[in-house]
Amino acid sequence: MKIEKKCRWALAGAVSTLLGTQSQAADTGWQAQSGVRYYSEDGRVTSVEPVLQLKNTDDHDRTISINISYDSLSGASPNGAAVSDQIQTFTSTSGSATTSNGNSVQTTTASSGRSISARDDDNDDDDDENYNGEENEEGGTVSQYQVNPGEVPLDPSFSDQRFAFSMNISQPVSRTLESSFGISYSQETDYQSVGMNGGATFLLNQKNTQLGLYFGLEKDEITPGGGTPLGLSSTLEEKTVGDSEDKLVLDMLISFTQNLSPNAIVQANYSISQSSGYHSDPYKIISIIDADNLPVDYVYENRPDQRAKQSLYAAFKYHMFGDTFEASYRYMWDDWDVTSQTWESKYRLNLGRFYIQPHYRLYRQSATNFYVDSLNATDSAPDYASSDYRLGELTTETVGAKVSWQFSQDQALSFRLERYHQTGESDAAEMNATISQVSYKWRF
Amino acid sequence: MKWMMSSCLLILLYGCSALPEVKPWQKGNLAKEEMTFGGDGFDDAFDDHIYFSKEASSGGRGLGGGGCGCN
Repeated sequence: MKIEKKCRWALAGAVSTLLGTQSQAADTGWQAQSGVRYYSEDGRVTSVEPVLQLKNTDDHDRTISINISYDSLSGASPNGAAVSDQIQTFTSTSGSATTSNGNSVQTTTASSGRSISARDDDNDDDDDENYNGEENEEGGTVSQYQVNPGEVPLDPSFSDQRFAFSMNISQPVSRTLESSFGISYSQETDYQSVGMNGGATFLLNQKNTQLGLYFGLEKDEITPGGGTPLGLSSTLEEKTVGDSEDKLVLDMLISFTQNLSPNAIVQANYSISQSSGYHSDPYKIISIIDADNLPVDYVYENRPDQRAKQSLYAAFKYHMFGDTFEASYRYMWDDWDVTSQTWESKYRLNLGRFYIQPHYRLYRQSATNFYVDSLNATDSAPDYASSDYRLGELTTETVGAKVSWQFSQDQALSFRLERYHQTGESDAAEMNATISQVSYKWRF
Repeated sequence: MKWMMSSCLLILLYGCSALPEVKPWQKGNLAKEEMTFGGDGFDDAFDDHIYFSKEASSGGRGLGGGGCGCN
């Protein structure tokens, strides 16, 4: 009986994760996990995020989990402009920017939005020796920065905060059916997201097989500083199409989980995500270059207002020598012509009260059909274009490890450290980051 | 279409009876947190947030979602 009950918790854990929440096998009562997540790109953005997760399971096997986090990030972020052989000058928010190409000087506007601060720690690689910050006439802060020839244009004033809350409830409906329901909310300076999800898990074959069907609905609203820029319009013109834009995302996930042996379990998922609305990044610009490869203007990017993504995912876990090995693979494709493959593997080496878990992840994606490095001044304007490096060809690699110490029956302390490396067809894609996390888990 | 759906259902039902069956008393290892999908939810949530904001793909092991303006 005890084993059966434990297994039920194992299944409940899987269900909750499929719905994008966090859950862990546990007895009845409260369990909490808190920690600080730290993500820092070399010379670019740094994010610090305290997190609290609470979970309670009652005597009727009903589980409620609550997640609260606060994310604060700042640093330099690629603005989308191409690397140039000349000095490029950009001005954030409502100010204007100049592009000097040796022969002429043209004034442009490169709105970087978000919360603009006229501060730079000079801890980045944006070569901003000519960085200036001052108050403009409207009282807003204007931050101007220069980018040297050969350097990736980075806006050094990127800064944002994000508060996120989510709650998920799952409960058994019968011996072979479990239902779940969740809500989520997040708020940033210029972005708000509200979502809900729900689904059912069928337990078959002596509970060795799980079939799950889950749905998600999310409504996002973006309110860029200075208004939503008109896609592909010159930054000089400051054309806006409104104060805010919406995006609606519908998700569906079909999941199959199977116990293969007393030591092996496998999962296969198919998911589809349909989003409609505003998909552009209002702070990303594209360089317009002349025949001599020199920038003569900048335009705001413009992405399609629809996107349909699909993915196949398979994961495998195997318990051997008292340790646990896991591997997963994901193939994703969408109607923007992106295809991607992700391989991931972990090996948890159990050493009594401690465990060490090395982790490796490899990701490769192809470019969207509207990705450009820059646009030619002589060409006619395309319908859609973005020079966001994240939409170009990209390969990323993560290597790291986690160490955990279960220092009492109800308490554990974990530390995780990883390095993340990106490389791709864009110059801006070259990036290294440190991922680390300290967390403490306890029951009460 | 109906024929196809019926066939799929039949295959699924038949498939279940042919799938491996682990007896309840053999599930000691499978019940461990480290052997459950989602047992590492705290870490997975961090990863999903990073990769959602730095890559053009999301979702797979769970619903894609996102809920942030980072991409």
